[in-house]
Amino acid sequence: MKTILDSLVQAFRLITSLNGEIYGIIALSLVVTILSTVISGALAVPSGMIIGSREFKGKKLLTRLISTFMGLPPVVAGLIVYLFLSRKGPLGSLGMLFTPAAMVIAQVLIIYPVITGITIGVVRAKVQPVRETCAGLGIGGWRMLLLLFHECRYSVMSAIIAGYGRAISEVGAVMLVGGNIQFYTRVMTTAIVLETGKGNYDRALALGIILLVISFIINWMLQRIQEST
Amino acid sequence: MRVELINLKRYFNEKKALDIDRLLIESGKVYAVLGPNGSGKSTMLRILAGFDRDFSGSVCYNGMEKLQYNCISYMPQSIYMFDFTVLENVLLGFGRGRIDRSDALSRVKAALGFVGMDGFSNAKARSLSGGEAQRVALARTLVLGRDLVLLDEPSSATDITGVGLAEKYIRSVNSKDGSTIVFTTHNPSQAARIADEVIMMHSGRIVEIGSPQQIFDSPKEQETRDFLRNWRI
Repeated sequence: MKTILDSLVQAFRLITSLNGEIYGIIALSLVVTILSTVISGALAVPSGMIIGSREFKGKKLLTRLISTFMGLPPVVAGLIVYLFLSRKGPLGSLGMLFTPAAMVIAQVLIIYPVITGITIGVVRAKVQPVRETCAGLGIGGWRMLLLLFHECRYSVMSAIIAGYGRAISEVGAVMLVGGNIQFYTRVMTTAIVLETGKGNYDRALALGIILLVISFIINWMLQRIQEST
Repeated sequence: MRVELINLKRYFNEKKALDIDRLLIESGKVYAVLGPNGSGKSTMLRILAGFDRDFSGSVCYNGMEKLQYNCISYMPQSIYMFDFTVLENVLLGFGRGRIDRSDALSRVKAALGFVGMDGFSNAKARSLSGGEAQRVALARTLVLGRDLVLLDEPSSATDITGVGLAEKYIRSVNSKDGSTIVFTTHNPSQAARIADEVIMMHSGRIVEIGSPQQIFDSPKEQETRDFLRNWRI
């Protein structure tokens, strides 16, 4: 109990300390998670809409694969990206390993199936009445898809929130491909792992509390957007 | 629009749902498709609308098997209202650029007036009751003035006033726009009030076709007599 109380005090001190490293860690965490969520959302929502609303050969298999990847262990995603970006890997020449860009790629790999999978489920529940009503009015193609998106928008927003939640809490992949380099690729979750390893439990817990507060604020903001649309 | 169904068969899991040797729907008439539950009324309407293509036989629209773009409007049995206002819902079928917006707006307002929903223009469509939503859906389908209008139980959830308005509107669209209208109903009285022709169906087959007077006053087939046995005007 004492450790938790100390951590709360420590968290408050860390936030108000104007410590450049802490602010850098917080900023990088936000940049990496928000960027990966935006990229994943931009890719996953249209693909989820198309997969959920169209019938094609191999749809069941594709849906099952996406469902499987929804539970992809972050460390495995990190390993895949690591192998691709490592010096001997196919994309090694890009020199992206141990950079924030590599962390974003790894997180996109983790979040994309989550947002796609949820979007497919949401669209599947709405597509039949929307398609039938649209067809009855002579609406088809892209306009039908846009209307379908409009009808699913709240649930799609929830899918994006779920994706963001997975990104902000993720540690394995960003640790592998980012390398937890001080002042460069260290984010909140990797910093917590480091501080715990060093035995600085109060500092680790303080960072955890900051992470929770940030996560709460972002989720609250996203839900506000969801409610106002 | 003249529609001809020839040797049409539709199966659901090896169960024959529709078996029509020939049916001619003549241009500019109002047809009531009458029959008990499961007689194939909705299946036939879905095939006519082009939604269900999993059938054998042929459906010809003005002599062609290919359905021309935007010549049909269809109102399904289960109503879906988009998360817009009532006015926006009824405007949907006009699309963008197909018709002058002010012209579309005045037509939509008139359509809502026809079904007694003009006071609900700015209401959220999702907040409507089942009967009100059905009236709005009818306006949304009929306002387009398409050549062939297909209505699957267009007033099954509507109150007596609403039914009267709906029937008047159906007849008005038929006479003003010249639309061919096919609607399904369980109610022989409704068929008698607005249809030029009644198509009597039973177990996926057309058992009898004729004017309401012919069908109701002197039914030829046993299935028709059985169906009308419990009818009270």
